[in-house]
Amino acid sequence: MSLADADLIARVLLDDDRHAFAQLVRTHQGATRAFLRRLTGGDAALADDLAQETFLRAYRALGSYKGTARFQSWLYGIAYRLFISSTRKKTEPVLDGDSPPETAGPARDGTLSGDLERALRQLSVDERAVIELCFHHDHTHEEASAVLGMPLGTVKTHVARGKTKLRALLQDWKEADAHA
Amino acid sequence: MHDDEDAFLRDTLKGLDRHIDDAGFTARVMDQLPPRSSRRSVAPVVAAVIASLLGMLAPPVRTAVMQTLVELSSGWMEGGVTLASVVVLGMLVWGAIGVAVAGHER
Repeated sequence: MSLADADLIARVLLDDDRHAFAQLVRTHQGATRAFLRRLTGGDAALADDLAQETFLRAYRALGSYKGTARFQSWLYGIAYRLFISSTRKKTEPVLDGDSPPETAGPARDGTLSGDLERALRQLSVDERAVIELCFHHDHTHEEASAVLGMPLGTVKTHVARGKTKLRALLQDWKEADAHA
Repeated sequence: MHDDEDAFLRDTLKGLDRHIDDAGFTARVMDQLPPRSSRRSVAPVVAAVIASLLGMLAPPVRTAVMQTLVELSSGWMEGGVTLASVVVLGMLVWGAIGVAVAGHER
């Protein structure tokens, strides 16, 4: 945890310093919203609603933050659980490691970044969350396990499956482009 | 899995980063926070309690308080109280009000 975050958190806990909490939100809102947009498959409105709720829950539970993980990681954990909870309220099947992927979204634009975005939407939520934390946000498998509340073995399985799927999809599209 | 594959995935994912403007997001969060009174600092309350206890234990204060209580109780029975006991009681009540107000305003 950065010294700046530690100082701000202390001020919120000791004095309910609203300016300090606003600074925490400003600092971490971008990464949190981006993480949720990845989980929601690009649904920015849903992601922002969940992100707001994430910070409200963080405010209420700030006393339980132990400081062993980065503050941003703690927020990712809250965001992930909120997203899972929100999906369980829908009539869709419960999302787990073997759940069907979301729809692919808009058509391919032929760019690598576009293909990767599209491919990520083909992963299950858990695979997407693990890939995001481990490869985008440099979490170790152990850190991702703690943040997401998943057993370490499950995290490793999701990483392996996620990478296999991504490799297969990107390869398929690359070959399709070569033959086009 | 290959290290270069991991590095490719890591670099490409980081390349997807897009700056997300705050665009009022923080303000919307702050608007939804509960009122400040629901998350009050306990420090001044604790300090006031400790100060009160220390005050009660300090001999001069304790003597004055006990004398006040005795005089008030006997005064009620006999129909009169001393000015000193009223002043001491007033100071105790004023101090309690001050602590309560200070704790509320924080």
